Amino acid sequence: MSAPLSRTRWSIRLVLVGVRTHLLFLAESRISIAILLGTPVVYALVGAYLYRDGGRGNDVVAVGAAAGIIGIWSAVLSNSGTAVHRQRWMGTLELMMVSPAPLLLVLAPLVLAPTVLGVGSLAVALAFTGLVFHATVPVAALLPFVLSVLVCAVAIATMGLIMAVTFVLFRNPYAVVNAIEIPVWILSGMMVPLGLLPGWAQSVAAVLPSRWGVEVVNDSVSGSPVLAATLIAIAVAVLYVLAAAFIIRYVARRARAQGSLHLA
Amino acid sequence: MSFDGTDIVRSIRMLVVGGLISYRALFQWTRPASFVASLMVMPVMQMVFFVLVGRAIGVADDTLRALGLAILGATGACIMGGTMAIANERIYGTLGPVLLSTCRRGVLWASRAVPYVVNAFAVMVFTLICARLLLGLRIPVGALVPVLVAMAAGSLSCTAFGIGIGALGLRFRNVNDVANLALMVFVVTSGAVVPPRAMPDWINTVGAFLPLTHAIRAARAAASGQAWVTFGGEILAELAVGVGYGVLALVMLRVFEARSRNGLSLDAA
Repeated sequence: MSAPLSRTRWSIRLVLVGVRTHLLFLAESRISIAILLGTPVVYALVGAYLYRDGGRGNDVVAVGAAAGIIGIWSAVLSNSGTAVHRQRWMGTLELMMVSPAPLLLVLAPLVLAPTVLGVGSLAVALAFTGLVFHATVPVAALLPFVLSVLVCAVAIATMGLIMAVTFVLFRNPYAVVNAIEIPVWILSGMMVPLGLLPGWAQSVAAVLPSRWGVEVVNDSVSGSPVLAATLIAIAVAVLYVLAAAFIIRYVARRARAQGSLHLA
Repeated sequence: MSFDGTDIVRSIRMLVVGGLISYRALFQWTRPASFVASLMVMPVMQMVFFVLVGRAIGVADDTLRALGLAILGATGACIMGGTMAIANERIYGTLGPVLLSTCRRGVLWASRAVPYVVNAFAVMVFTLICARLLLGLRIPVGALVPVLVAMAAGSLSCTAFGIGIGALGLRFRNVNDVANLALMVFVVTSGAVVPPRAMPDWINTVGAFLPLTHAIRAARAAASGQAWVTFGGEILAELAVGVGYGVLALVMLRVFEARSRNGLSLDAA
């Protein structure tokens, strides 16, 4: 009999197995995967033609990256925001709530799995812009770009985590999902420079991890220093994780006290 | 087969009362939160997003862009609504009784479409009002009626398209995913986001045979003061597209219903 895993290794294994399980679950619907991968391609196509029409053909790579980030956010939002709803509908939400593992670690794979798919959709969007518009990330800048995408993806995932833990209490999360998808595109600076937004909107954007994640990617594409934006993105993401941990304690306590988790 | 006064009254009642009941029962976005989020916030935010993208590039005048985007914003109401109007019968287990009913099929399926035409037009008008308030969109008073007529034509044709996708729901599951794909196609082909001059010819050709393309052209032509012959022709083209998809939807509904009866099954896949 092998020695028991340390708590850290056990937690990591729990999350990785959960991510694999939810990825397999999401991959069951091929047409859903096609939509998930196709959405950023559509926005990359539209954005690239718009920018070329406006005389900014040199920015097609940045447009493709922005479209890919839209794909990450859409994947995280539509899947993690509604993942809890699906668990409720399948009757497994109560089992997740009473599991001995920390609830945050149980819910994290619901968010990380679509994040992985979202990063894949970004790769598809960039491959598309490379094939159709012959615009690619320079080889020398590829590693910094990949690292910037990972920072951005993690930042967006923390927003998905907040939604996943909060939507346990919502009977109809789809309404919130539809309402916040495009505002986050705008506030995060996905294809829209933040300088175009009024001051109050820029202030709201400053507390979004995605806003800083997008800046990291934009800085990487343009060759600007990425350290400052990366540190801010990580700091804001950590705050979101701490907030999620705090919220889930309240949610779990309320769910147990009211006993109405299956209804919400 | 005769069609007397009683039939006319019955058909009108089917269109109005039956349509309203099916809209309330089958359209998943009638709940206030879903309605506001999906049919008010989302179209307005989409319009604002693409107008801001245009401003980032330096488009001189985003008035016509906002007008086209206001019309495009109703695709959710048309396509998802039209799809749910028929496909959700399967989900709720009422498809069999519907197909067993003795209602005239043309009236039955038309009754499903009518509420969504009205819904789509209302979404377009609301988005247009938001464009005026948020983006300063100005339409000349003399162009208001042609713009509204173009929007009505677009609502009709896009809903007919949505009903066609819903018809697939008589035989196939998961047609909502097909509807989601269609929404993405319209963003590319309608000309609302990217000017047709910037798109490849084959995309513009595809767009010419899809709903909303001609309605957007008509609205923009009217708003920019072009002759009535120009926007009138585009409105007629939009109505022709709508009639085409309406006929296609009715044929598909009839064929799929017959196959369901012959095969004694409501499922093909």
